[in-house]
Formats: sequence, C-alpha cells, structure tokens
Amino acid sequence: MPANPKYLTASPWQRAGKITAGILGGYFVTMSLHLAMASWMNHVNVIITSAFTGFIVWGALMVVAFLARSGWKIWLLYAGLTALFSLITWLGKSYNPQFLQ
Amino acid sequence: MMEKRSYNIFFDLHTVSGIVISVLLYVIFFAGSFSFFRDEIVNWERNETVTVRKAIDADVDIVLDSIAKKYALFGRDITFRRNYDERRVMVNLSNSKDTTVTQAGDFFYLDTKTFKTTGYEDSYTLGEFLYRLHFFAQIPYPAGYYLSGFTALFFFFAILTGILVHWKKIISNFYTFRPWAKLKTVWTDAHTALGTIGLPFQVVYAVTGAFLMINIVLVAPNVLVLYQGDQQKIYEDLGYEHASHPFENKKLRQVVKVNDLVVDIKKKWRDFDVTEIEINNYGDEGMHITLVGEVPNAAKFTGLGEITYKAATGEIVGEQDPYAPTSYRDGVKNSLYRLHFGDYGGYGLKFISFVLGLLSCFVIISGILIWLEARNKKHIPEKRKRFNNTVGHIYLAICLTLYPVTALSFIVTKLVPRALDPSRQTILYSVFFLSWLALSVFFWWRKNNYLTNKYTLLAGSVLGVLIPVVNGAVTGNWIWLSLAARQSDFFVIDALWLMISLAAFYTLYHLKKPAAMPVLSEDDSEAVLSDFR
Repeated sequence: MPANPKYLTASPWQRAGKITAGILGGYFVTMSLHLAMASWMNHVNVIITSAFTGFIVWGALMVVAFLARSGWKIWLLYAGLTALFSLITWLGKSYNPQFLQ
Repeated sequence: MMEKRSYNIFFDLHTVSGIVISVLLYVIFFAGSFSFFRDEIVNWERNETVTVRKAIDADVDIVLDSIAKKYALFGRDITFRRNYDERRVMVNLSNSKDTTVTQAGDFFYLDTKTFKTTGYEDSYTLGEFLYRLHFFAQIPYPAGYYLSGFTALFFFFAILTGILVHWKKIISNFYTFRPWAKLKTVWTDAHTALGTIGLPFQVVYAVTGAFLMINIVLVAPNVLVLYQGDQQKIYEDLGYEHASHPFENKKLRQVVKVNDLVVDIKKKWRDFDVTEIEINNYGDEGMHITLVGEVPNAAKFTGLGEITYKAATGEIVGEQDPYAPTSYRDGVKNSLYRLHFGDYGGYGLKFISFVLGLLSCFVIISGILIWLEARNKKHIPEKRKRFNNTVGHIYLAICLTLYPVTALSFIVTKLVPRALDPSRQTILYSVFFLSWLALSVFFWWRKNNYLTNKYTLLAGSVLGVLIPVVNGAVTGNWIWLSLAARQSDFFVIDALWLMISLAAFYTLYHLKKPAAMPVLSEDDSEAVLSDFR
C-alpha cells in the first residue's frame, strides 16, 4: 500500500530541487519573513513568537514545496519571497525610526 | 485528480519522514516519558527526601561561610541555582575579577542538609542519565543536541503530513477499531486513532522540543542581521542574561546578610520561591545580589520575579514583580518551557504526560509495522522484501529492548552502593548501553518480531516488579511504608513500575501468536488501501 508512484516525482533532479527548496528555501523564507516583521514591529515580541511560529512555518513550507509541479519553480518562488522579505528588512533597518528600540 | 495526487504525495512524505526518524523518536519519547519523573528518580536512587519543593532550602550565609573555607570568594560572581527538586543545589563560582586571587572558579553541587560538595560526575544518577538520553546528550555536544532537535523538526513534518493524509476521514477513522480483522487493520486503526488522541500533545512537544535543541537556527539570523553580531544584546533583550555590574576593586565595609534578603522577599511577594541567587562581585563595593524565582503555578501560571540589591547601600536597583502583569515575552517563553516539562500540574499531569509519551511510542511502533506490512506483497522482489524485513527486525529490536534495559538499570543503580557514586556514571553507561546492544543484536539475530515483542515485554515486566522489591530490600522503604510516611518520591517510582508491569502482563496475557504472515495479493492490498482511505 505504499503511495502510488505515478503521483510522485520520478526525476532525481526534480526531487533534489524539491527537497532542497523545502528544507533550505523554506528556512530562508521563514527567517526572512520573521526578520522583516522584526524590523518593523516590536522586535523582541517577534523574535520570541518565532520560537513557536518559526518551526511551524518552516515545516509547512517544506510540505508545500513537495506539492509543487516543478522543483525549479518552487525554488524560484521561495527565492523571490526571500528577496522580497529581505528588501522589507533592509527598508526597516534604514528607515524605521523605531528599529531595535 | 489533484486530490489523488496530493494524497499520494502526503502519504509518501509521511512514510519516508516517519520511517527515517522512527527509532530516534522512539528513544526520545521513551526516555522523555521517564524524564517527567527525573527528580523523583534521583531522590529514589539516593534515598533522600526533600521537604521544600522548588525554593533553595538553606541558609545562604551559612552556605557561603562553608564555601569560603575552600575558596577565596572576593571579586567572584557566585550563583546558586536549584533547577531540580533535589536536596543538592548547583553552585557556580566564576574566576575572581581581582587579579591577585588566582584560584580558578569552579562548579559543584552542594547538599543543603550536610553542606557536602560534589562534582558533576560524583552526583550522577540514572534520573540524569535518562533525562540526558532524551536529547541524546551522551553523543558529544553539539551533535546530540542537533540530532534530537532536527528529529523533533521532522517529527513535526511527519505530524503535519500525517494529519493531511487522514484529514478527510479523521472523524470516522477515529471510531474505527477492528482488532479482530486483518493484522494490518489493527496497526492502521491503532496508528490513526492513537495518533489523533495524542496529536495536540505531540505537536506541542515537536515544536517546543525543536526550539529547546536547535533554537540557534532561529536566533543566529537575528544576531547577524538585526543585532550586527552582538550576541550579548540579544540574550539580554530576550531575558536570558542578567544585567552586568562593574567590579570596583574596593573591599566592601559592611557585612551583607544575603539570607535576610531571601527571608524579606517572601514578605514582600507572598509565596515567592527563590530558585536562583546570583551574587556579583562578592565582597566588593560593586557587589550586587539578585534573587530570581517564581510564585506557585496555582497562583499564577507565569509569575516570574526578580530583584537586585546593591550591597553597599541596600537599595533596590532592579525589580520585576511576579504579581504584576506578565510581559508578552515572558509569557511566551515560560509557557514554552512549562508545556515541554509538564511540571505545572502536580503528579496528575506528570502521569498523563507519561502515558501520552508511551502512547506515542506505540504510535511509532505501529507505524513501523504498517510500513512493513504494506511492503509484504507478492509483486515486491524477494531481495527487496528481505531487506525490508531486516530493517523491521533491527528497528523493533532497538526500540523494544529499551524497556527491559531501563528496568534493569533501575535495579542496578539501586544495588550500587552510595560509596561508589564516583563510578556510577561509568557503571550506568556500561549496563545500559552494553545490555541494550547485546539484546538488540540478539533479537535481530532471532529475526522474529513476535518473539522480540513477547520476550522484551516479559523481561521488562518481571524486572519492573523487582524494582520496588529491590528498593525495599536495600533501603527498608517498602512501598507501603513510603506510602504511609508520605514519601511521595519513593512511592511514585515504585508504583510507576508496578503499573507498567501490570499493563505489560495484561498485554502478554492477550498476546496471540500470529499465524504465518500472509502475503497479500494485489487485490487484497487494494482492499486494505481502501480501508485506510
């Protein structure tokens, strides 16, 4: 009764893409999202909340990566999100007068 | 179509992540269940009772005098901490900030009744051993911590995919139990029903467990990006470090009675338990005393308090009232620890947590058995099948032998006299790991899961019954006497083992030798699969 292989990823490159996107890409998205929030909101509260939400978001993003049709596209999506959140973090560090206050 | 695809993906993810972490997770849950009773085990082993829970139960000034006989204290930071409900408190002495005091700092335990000091190894216990096995601390740091932390993270991943697989039938499957149907359905029904019962418990433990072991992966980006590498600052912001006080290198004129402060604070904050005393720059003009503690959980779930006095003037330089509203930061932080340690609800909560922990062990075992059964089919090549079976034999042998090995260790640690305390760690390591290895190899060699199950249960339950007997014979504290004397630590451990043995005997009584494992045809397996959906 193992899962029906016709629905699973056959190509090793695709599979590697999804695994790395889930674990690494998921981690980058999770962390950059939390950093972006911390740079604009009460950073202590965001950091301490991430004790719970960090691993939950990361785990969910791992699952999502495997639902993607293409390993490259999910990497592209995760990289794009990381870039977006990093930009927000950079803006927060540069322009938020309350940064780390 | 889409649904079938995602179902199969979730299924595959759940299978693969589950089978990879299964053995590690089993050890974590098994040792973790006993860790709820860590302090009771320690007191039971040492045959010591504690009269006061939580708070440091000694006159600190007398303790300081006794330490001063061995160490020049001037200019040191001295910390007393009572992490556990034991008679011993941890004492940490830093190097002196006065460079003329060359004697190095130290760490030791101090018995609050006899004032005897002992090093970490001389204080080693089976309670400590099992507690540390729970996060693989016997593997050198940080490898063991990271291994257990990432196991917790992938456990969360397995839970998530597990819920997704069962989401559509989570209600109806919950009421499905067909123990007299096919063997396969027993495992699947048990796996889903017990997995669902344990779900909230397991999610909490997966997430908080990951945090306790690999919080570094969450903290590191914050340090690098937000704090520009300033670690000290982030740990102060998060409340993990106390503010530091400068050393002035001038002898303090007046004598400070630290214990008076401890007594006074109880009047100020009702029922406040001082669990940590930190003295900065002892005997110096810059000497500061910080008392850290909490109010009982029944009064307030997160009632952490802290007060700092400047010794020279006696003024309060920092204060956090435990009865004042708790900050968001402290609330989140404290609930994380309390949820994981399960120590806020007395023995009832500990016992329920213990049972849920062992229940999770059962979910893991049934998961391995489903994995095996699902691959026991005609179209699977013989070689592949042999490999799967070997994996199954090894996994079950490692997991199931843990029960008799733990019971044996309880007996051994009770028989090893206190005079041998310095070698207790070596003895426990040898007994535990060697017997675990030998039994695992033996049952792997026997290649029979039924046999593994039966004889580990039998050995564990017989040894388990012997534990209270050995304790009674060695210490004279027979279980009925400790119950009558209300020595709860002794009674709880003896009773716990009796209850486990009873449950194991009951299981053994109902254990049926299975007919030769039928190999399922394709049609059968399709039928089973539809059962499962």
